Amino acid sequence: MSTNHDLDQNQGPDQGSDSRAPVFETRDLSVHFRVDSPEGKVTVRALDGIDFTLHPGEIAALVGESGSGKTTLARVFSLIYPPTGGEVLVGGVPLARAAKDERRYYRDTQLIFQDPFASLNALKKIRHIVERPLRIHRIVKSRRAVADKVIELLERVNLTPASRYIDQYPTDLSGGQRQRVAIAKSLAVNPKVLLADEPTSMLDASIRLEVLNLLADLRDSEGLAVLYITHDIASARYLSDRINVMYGGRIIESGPTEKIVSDPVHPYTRLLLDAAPDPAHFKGSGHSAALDTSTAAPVDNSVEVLGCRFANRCPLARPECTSAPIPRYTSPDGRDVLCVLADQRSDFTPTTPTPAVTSAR
Amino acid sequence: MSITASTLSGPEVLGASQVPVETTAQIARRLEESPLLLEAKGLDVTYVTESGEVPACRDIDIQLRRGEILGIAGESASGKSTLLNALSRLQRAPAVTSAGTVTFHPDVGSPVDLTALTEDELRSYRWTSLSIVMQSAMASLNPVMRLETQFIDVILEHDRSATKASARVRAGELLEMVGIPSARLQSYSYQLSGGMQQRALIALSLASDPEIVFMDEPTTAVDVVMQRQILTQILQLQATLGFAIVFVTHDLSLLLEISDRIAIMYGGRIVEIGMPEQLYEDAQHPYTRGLRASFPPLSEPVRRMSGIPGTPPDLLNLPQGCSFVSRCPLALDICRTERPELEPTETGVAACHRSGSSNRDSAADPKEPIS
Repeated sequence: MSTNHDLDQNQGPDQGSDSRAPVFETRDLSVHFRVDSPEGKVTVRALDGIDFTLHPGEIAALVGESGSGKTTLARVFSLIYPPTGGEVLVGGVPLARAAKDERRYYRDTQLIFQDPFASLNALKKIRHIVERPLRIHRIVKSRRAVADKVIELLERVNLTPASRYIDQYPTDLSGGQRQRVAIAKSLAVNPKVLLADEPTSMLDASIRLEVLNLLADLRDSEGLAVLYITHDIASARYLSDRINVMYGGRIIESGPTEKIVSDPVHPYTRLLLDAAPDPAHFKGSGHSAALDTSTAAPVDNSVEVLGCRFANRCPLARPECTSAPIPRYTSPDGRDVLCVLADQRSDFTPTTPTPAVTSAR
Repeated sequence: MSITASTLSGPEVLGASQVPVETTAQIARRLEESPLLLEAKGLDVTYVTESGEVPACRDIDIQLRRGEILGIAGESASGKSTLLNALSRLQRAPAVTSAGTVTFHPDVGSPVDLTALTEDELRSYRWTSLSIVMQSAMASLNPVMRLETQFIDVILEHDRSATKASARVRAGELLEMVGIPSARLQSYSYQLSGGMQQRALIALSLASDPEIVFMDEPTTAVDVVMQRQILTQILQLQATLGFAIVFVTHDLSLLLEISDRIAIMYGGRIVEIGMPEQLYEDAQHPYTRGLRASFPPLSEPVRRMSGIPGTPPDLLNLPQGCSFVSRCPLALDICRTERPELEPTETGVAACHRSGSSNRDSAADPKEPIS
């Protein structure tokens, strides 16, 4: 029933108030791919030095541009890419052990895809689509119980009355309704976490909020954890408790949502915020829609960079940005940034450079 | 007016300073003083399909002035792309212009109704007067031809005085103008990043100094940082060269930032036209307000928002009255029976029975349904 503000007030779930183990926790996670290129085999560092935590009942956003590694991280959690370095804990248990029982793992970890036009079988009725996970995972046994459960699930995602939708086909529904069917289907197996990769970017603007609100409600009422992937930092601010900004395969800044939005440290986070359309900056308001930005291309993730991968586009780059590994700075309010600019701030203290940066070959 | 690479700054860093920042009053004055460039009157576009005639656009009255940036906002099936294709005369069957005119006012000479022209006659307006930038650069550029070939082809086709050599020079200038080194003329489109492709397409659209550039969601396929770069580039080029832009997108927050005026479409009709300040602060149509409230803010406090519940109308089965009535939190009985006409507002027009004072009083929060 709320956005992140209510959670801010009770300190948020990441303040140790919740004794349950994190849903996901990574330490120095890396995913490297060996790929062919005109110069022979090269290593693409899709993820490097990722320290990420998602608590029960929390919505964590991954924000960043195309190629920043957002989806790769989600794919590690959905067992599509194996980690090539570091550690991943799922509910406090190492990923390899947690994933041994694959069926159970996928019951706990459900995926919501970008395109509800492609992710639902167009030839099957809504009833069938929502029923299938119930049967496959044997959530309820009797035919009667399955039917009741389908109704309950549809009503939980506000498709009411469920009887109106149950015998329709996905093509009869709008994008927002379809995405809610996809969410209902995920909820069928009582998951612990939803991995939602751009769940609203294919939807019309006027119905995006209903999907975001539904995710917020599920967090608040059922303690569901959500990994929300987007390049729209405004929607991340609306929905999430914590924002993780990714660039070049690293989390370059993370922290409680409002801190990230109101007081960003990393120039890339500032760029993301400045670049996002803001209705309050309407023409005539004195704000310019034009923005001084470097048009330099992002560093290719197959190129080894000792320091900061954003340095070639950064308006504030200094020599030490590329000559040495960047220390990670942390602040007492739960923020974490990978940028030398943090040394000018009294609230941040450096920790050791992430080992993956130096050990990458 | 001729464009060269030297007209604009170097490619490495985009300068925002070339883009003027105006107040609403200054924008209004500039528009008032600017001559009419394109005018649609009573324009209807119909799709002739097996299941019936779909009224994709109805009663479109809109004016574009020289140098104006006109935004057209709408969601799926609102008719915004149909309108763009009708204005640019790029529409193809099954779309048919079933009524109305699109009048182009050239620099010299008398106005001409574009809907009355044949394809051959339209050719002389393409690129020199009207050009277009599509959403998908990858689909617009030919992947098996070098950029140079495509640029030279356009330049030779539309500029009779050009030679192959002069066209090649011009092609290089055009690329440099959008911050792409002219050496990239030798590249194929797939060798460019998504943002570069889109910029190359913008450069191509400017090849023959058009007076109007139609842009159909030109930044929807790229991420926000690239989107801002492309917008900055468009605004710089526009400020320098003075062409008018018709910019179509579903992203109202983006349109509010860049447009001189914005037309809001719903169910195939324009339901409101206004300047950004009015649409932001005092939109007259509940749909406009709902759409504006569908974009979470970045610089204002976050509160629970609800977008617009419900779904857009079926164009084959439009309600008798206002097409927004089933989703409208302020609907009256009259809204179900009588379609509201566009009436003047402070900076434009709006089609709502509650437009005006009754609307403003009761609609402080458009998300609280009154029933």
